[in-house]
Amino acid sequence: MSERQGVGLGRYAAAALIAFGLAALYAATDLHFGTARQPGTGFFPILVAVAVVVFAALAFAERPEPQGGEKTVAAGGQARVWAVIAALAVYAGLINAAGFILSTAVLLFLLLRLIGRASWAGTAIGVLSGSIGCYWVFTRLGLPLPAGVFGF
Amino acid sequence: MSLLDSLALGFSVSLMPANLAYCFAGVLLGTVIGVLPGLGSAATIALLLPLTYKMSTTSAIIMLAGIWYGSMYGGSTTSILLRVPGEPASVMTCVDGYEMARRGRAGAALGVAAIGSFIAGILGLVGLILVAPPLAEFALAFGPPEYFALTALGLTLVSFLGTGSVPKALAMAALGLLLGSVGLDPVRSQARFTFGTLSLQSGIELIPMVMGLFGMSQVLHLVDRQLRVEEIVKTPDTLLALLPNRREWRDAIGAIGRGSLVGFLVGILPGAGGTISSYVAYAIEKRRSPHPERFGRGAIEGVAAPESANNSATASGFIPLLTLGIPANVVMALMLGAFMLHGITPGPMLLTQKPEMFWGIITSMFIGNLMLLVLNLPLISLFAKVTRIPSAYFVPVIALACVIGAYGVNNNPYDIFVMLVFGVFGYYAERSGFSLAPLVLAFVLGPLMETSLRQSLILSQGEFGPFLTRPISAVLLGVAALLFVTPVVRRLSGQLASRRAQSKARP
Repeated sequence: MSERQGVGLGRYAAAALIAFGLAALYAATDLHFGTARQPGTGFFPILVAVAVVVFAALAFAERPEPQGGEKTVAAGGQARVWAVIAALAVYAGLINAAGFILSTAVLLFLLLRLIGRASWAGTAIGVLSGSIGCYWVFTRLGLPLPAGVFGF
Repeated sequence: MSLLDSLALGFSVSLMPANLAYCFAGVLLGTVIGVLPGLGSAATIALLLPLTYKMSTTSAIIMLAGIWYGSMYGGSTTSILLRVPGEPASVMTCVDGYEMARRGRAGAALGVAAIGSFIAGILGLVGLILVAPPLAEFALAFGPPEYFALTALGLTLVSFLGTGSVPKALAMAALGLLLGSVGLDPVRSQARFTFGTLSLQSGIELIPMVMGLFGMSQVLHLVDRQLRVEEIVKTPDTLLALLPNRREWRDAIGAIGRGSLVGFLVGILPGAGGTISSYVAYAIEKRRSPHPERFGRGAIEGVAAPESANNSATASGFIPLLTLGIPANVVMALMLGAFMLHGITPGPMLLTQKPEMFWGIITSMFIGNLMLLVLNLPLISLFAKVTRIPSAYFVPVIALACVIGAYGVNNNPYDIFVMLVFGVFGYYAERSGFSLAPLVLAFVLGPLMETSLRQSLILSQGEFGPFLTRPISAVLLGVAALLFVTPVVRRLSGQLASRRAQSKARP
C-alpha cells in the first residue's frame, strides 16, 4: 500500500478518538458536574472527555509524520489479523459451553497450522500441550478452567 | 535504622530461597524476551501479572523487576549480533555494536555491553539507595495539591518526552484518564459510564486491559508481518573472546561512567526511561569525542554508553514509584498494578510501614544484576539461538497466555472480550503512531489525579490558589506549563525570525 494510505490511518484514528470523546461527553451529560467548590461525579470525566476531543483534533490537524510513526497496511496481513480476531471472539463466546480443552485445541490448530503454517508434527504437539497440558497445569494451580464436553 | 541495617534487612529477605528462585526466573525470562524482537518487557510483565496472585508481594515485584532489567541485558545481544534491537532501549546499541561485530569484535561488544550493564546497574542501585529514603521522607509532607501537580507533571512529561507526536500522546493520556474514570466515582461511589451493567461497576480491569494492549496487540503484529532478521554474525565460542582488549577498555570505561549517570538522571523523569536515556548517552558520547567520525563505524563507546544508560535508568525508574507512588514509565505502571493486586499502595509510607519489602526489592536487584552477569557472559551464543525459533510458535503461546490470564481474573469469558478489544485497539493505535505508554500510565494515575484534584478543591472551597501558592505544587505545575508553552514560543519566535529575514532581504 502507498505511503498516503498509511498516513490516512493516523487521521482515521484521530477522527475515531474525536468521535469517542464526543460520545463520552454525551454519556456524561447524565452525571452531575457540580461546582469548583463541590465537584460532582461528572466533574473529572467531562473535563478529560473535552481534553480527548481537543488533543485528538490537534492530532488530526497536525502534519503526518514523515517516517516511523505511522505504518502502512498490507492486505494479506490484515486478512490474517482479522481471522485471528474473529477466532478469538468465537473462542471467548464458546469457552464456557464447549470447555477449555476443545475450544483451545481448535484455536491452537488455527493459529499453528492455518495462520503460522507450522508442520503437522509441531501443530500436534502444540495443540495437545496447549489444550490438555494447560488444562491439567492450570486447574491444579487453582484456576477453574471450564471443563465443558471433555471435562475430566 | 541505619543504612547498613536496612541493607542487612533487605538481603535477609532477598536471599530467602524462594525469592532467589523468583529473582533467577525473572532475570532469565527477561534475558530471553530481551533477546526476542517483538516481545517486550511490558508485554511479558503484563502476561505474568495474573501469576503473581498467589505469590507474596515482595516475591512478585522481585520477579517482575528481574524481567525488566534482565530484558535490558538481553536486548543488546540481538542488537550486536543481528542488528535487531530486542528492546527499544537497545536501538542505539545496533549502530556501533553491529559494526564492531562485522569487524570481528563481536565478543568485545557483547562483553562491554554485559559488563557495562552490570556496572551501571549497580551504580544505579547505589543512587536509588541514596536518593529514595530522603525523597520518601520529603514526600510525607505532600497533600492533595502536590499529588495532583505530580500526576499532572508526570502525564505531561510522558507525552512530551516520548518519541512520537505530542498531540497524539496527549490524546492517549486523556483517553487513559477517561477510561480510568469508568466505574464507581472514587469520592461519592456513584456509577459512571457503566450503562447499567454490573461488570463495569468496578471499572475496567487492569490485567485484561494491559494483556490486550501489550500481549494481544503483539500477537496481531506477529500475525501481520514476519520478522526479517539480517545476517547473524558468528557468536564468540569462548569466554575469553568476550573480553575487550586494553585499548577498548580505556575507551569504554569513561563512557560506562557517564552513561550510568545520564541513565540515572533521565530514568527518574516520568516517560523518559531506558530508551530516551540511551539516546541521550549516545549523543553525549559522540559530542564529547575527539573523533566523532568513529561513531557509526564500530566505536566501543557507542555500545558502552547506551547500554550503561538503559540499565542505570531501570534502577532509578523505581524511585518515583517506591517513594511517591507515581510510576515513571509503563513498566512501573504495571509494577504499581502488581502492588495494587496485593492490596498495597506504594508511596512514602512504604519505607516506614514495610521496610522489609522496600529493602528486599532493592537488594534483590543487586543479586539479579550479579546473576545476569554470570548468565550472560557464558550463555550469549545460546541466547542468540533463541531468535531462530519461528514466530509461528510465539503467536499461539502469547495468545494462550493472554486468554488464560484474562479469563483467570474473574473466571469470566467477558474479560477475554475486554482483552481482545484492547488488543485490537492497541494494534491499530500503534500502527497509527499513537503510543500506548501515556494511555496506561494515565489509566493507572487517573483515580489518584481525580481524587487529589477534587479533595484540593473541596478543602480550598473552590479556590485554585493553593495549587500555585504551595511551593512544591507551584514548581511542579510550573514545569508542566513550561513544557506546553515552550513549543508554542519556539514556533512563534521562528516565524518572527523568518519574517524579519524576509523583510531584510527585500530591497
